[in-house]
Amino acid sequence: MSAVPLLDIRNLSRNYASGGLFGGRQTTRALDDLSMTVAPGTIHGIVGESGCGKSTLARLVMALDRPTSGSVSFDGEDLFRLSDRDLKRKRRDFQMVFQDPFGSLDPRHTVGRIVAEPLHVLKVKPGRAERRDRVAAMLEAVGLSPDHAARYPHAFSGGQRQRIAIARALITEPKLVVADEAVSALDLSVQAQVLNLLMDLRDRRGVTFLFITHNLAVVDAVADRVGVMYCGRLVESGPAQAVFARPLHPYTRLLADAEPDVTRFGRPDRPPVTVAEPIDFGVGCSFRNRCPLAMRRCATERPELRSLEGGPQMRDRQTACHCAEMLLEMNTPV
Amino acid sequence: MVSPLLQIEDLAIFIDVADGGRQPILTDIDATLYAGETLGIVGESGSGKSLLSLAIMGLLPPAAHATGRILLEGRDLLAMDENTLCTVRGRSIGMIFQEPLTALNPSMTVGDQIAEGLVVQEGLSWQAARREAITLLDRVRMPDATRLSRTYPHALSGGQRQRVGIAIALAMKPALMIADEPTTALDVTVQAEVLDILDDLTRDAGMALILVSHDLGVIARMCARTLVLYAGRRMEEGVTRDVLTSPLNPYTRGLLRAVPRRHASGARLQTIPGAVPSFAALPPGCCFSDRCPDVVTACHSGEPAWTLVRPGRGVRCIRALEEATS
Ligand SMILES: Nc1ncnc2c1ncn2[C@@H]1O[C@H](COP(=O)(O)OP(=O)(O)OP(=O)(O)O)[C@@H](O)[C@H]1O
Ligand SMILES: Nc1ncnc2c1ncn2[C@@H]1O[C@H](COP(=O)(O)OP(=O)(O)OP(=O)(O)O)[C@@H](O)[C@H]1O
Ligand code: SF4
Ligand SMILES: [Mg+2]
Ligand SMILES: [Mg+2]
Repeated sequence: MSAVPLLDIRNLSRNYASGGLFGGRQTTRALDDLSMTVAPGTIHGIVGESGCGKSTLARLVMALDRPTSGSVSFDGEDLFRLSDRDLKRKRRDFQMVFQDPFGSLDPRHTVGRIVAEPLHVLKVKPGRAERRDRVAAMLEAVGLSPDHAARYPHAFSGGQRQRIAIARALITEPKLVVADEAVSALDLSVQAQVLNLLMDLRDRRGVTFLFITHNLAVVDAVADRVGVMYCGRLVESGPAQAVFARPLHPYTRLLADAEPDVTRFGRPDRPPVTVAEPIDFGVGCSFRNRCPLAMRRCATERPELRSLEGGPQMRDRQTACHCAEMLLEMNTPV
Repeated sequence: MVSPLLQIEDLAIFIDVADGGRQPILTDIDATLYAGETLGIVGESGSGKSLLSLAIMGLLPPAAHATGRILLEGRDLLAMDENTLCTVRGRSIGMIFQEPLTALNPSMTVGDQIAEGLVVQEGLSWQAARREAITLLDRVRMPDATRLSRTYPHALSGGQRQRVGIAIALAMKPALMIADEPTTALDVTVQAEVLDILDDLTRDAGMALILVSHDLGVIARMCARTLVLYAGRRMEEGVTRDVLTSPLNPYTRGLLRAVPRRHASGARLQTIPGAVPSFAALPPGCCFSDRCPDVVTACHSGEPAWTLVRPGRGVRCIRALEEATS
């Protein structure tokens, strides 16, 4: 990838303090020294374990939270060094769809007002009539109807609320949209319609998406690149289709094998899951207690993201596994 | 003969609208579920799946009203007073809610929210109930369950919150579990484990399961039977494998075509053309006729009746009936 990245994330870490009263204070390292770049005009998928730090990453990229260390540059400017005024100006260019749609919609406002809200930050504020037209067009684009604008969020189903949140994020056609689990509550037809809309915005307007989801098929269908996260770190990255077709990390392989499929009926034969031994996450590979390939080195030396030999097929691909070559050779389910 | 655990007869749900009238949402719903049976519900967003679940739980929002009968072990839930319903709901029916954050109390630790039901319904001491809560969190693969049981919902990730909701529902060992999009916030490995827990309960404890999901892969994996809804109506029902491999209704076929798949880069996904009409403006005749690729003139002349093409296989579509009889 040669283009100057729109988003340049460097050594990003975020610790949460928790506990207190009992058991003393503890810190959760939600993000652990994560670096990645996102090229403009692409859909960049993020998949990963539940609780591995995806929403934390999203909030940092949106400058809604501050990192413990590391930086996020957006369009060449370090977000955490901007003055409040400059940050406010910058905010025009990025929008977010939150994971929990209901929590992010103000129950006291009509849907029309909620969707129109980001228009306020535009340099040239649209007039009343134009605002109404843009809201109506946006609602239709996400499969709702313009007369929904007069209703309040509580009168909508889960998937309808999710679409209200998507409409709000897209209405200004920002440069970057961070979508956290944004299509999970939609029926397949509406989901396809919304995904097509995202691809259109990418292709026609150059909008960039950081697209967080648990649905691998969705990433496979729309994303240009994908990053796979585990325990606050990026463990694999590369072109989406190549990553799922031929994983270079055992966790990606595990994900690809566990994915439900419309053509597989009933409970799959899987060995009973053994509870993984808790491990010290500070050293070695954090996946080693679940990893079928783990060897002694994995407990002592932390695998860093690296490229593999292997010609054009391995281009633009990276993995953080000591045994990636072995996995590639096996090329059979582990 | 064993009698059914749940019997829904001629259920309809209406919503109060601004002008003082009532808008029908769900109409003509019938379903029967025996102990240990699994029913998947799929369908368009906004078609009434959550309202149906809430009606069975007796938790409809104030603006919604139900008619018909919902019999649990022969007793009509719609005719019960609030007190009786409370005990039945707590002991016999468990629900995993679609939006976990709205279902959780922000000012109570998640461990105590799980323990509460055990104290109130089962008479456990708080100490014993808290221990049980940690066991339940462990079962749903919550990492570091002991520590996380003492935290508040806001400090949890989306999938961790969802697992708290699942633990709350599992704590009561309900005879009927209603799971409304239970695993959307979980990665597929945790999802597989949670689905296995639900599956074990249906096999070993005879729990009946109603699973609402947009993920047809999850439905295929979990549910023996599947019901397809569109605009609040039953479009098709049958053994899951039949419904997903030889669908009778054009709406079901449209859904299956929209399953996201690997495409040549940049290709667009297939959708069902047109937009879902609002309940106040459904087309005359078949509610899907304005979007249906197989529509013929006769489709507009009246709502097709729900018809059993053979025992256990129902459909609402006049063209499907032509095919079935020719
Ligand atoms: N406010 C907070 N205080 C303390 N810990 C937190 C807080 N927010 C998140 N965490 C912890 O940080 C970790 C990462 O959380 P995050 O929400 O980023 O995960 P996620 O990848 O989005 O997961 P999911 O897929 O389940 O939504 C989790 O272990 C979570 O418990
Ligand atoms: N409190 C309410 N007041 C008014 N209308 C409502 C209310 N709750 C739901 N509705 C309407 O009833 C219809 C059915 O809603 P429901 O939540 O059951 O849909 P659903 O099938 O669960 O959809 P999804 O898949 O998006 O969750 C929706 O069209 C919604 O607009
Ligand atoms: S580094 Fe070792 S433990 Fe980690 S994924 Fe690779 S083989 Fe498994
Ligand atoms: Mg999250
Ligand atoms: Mg719903």
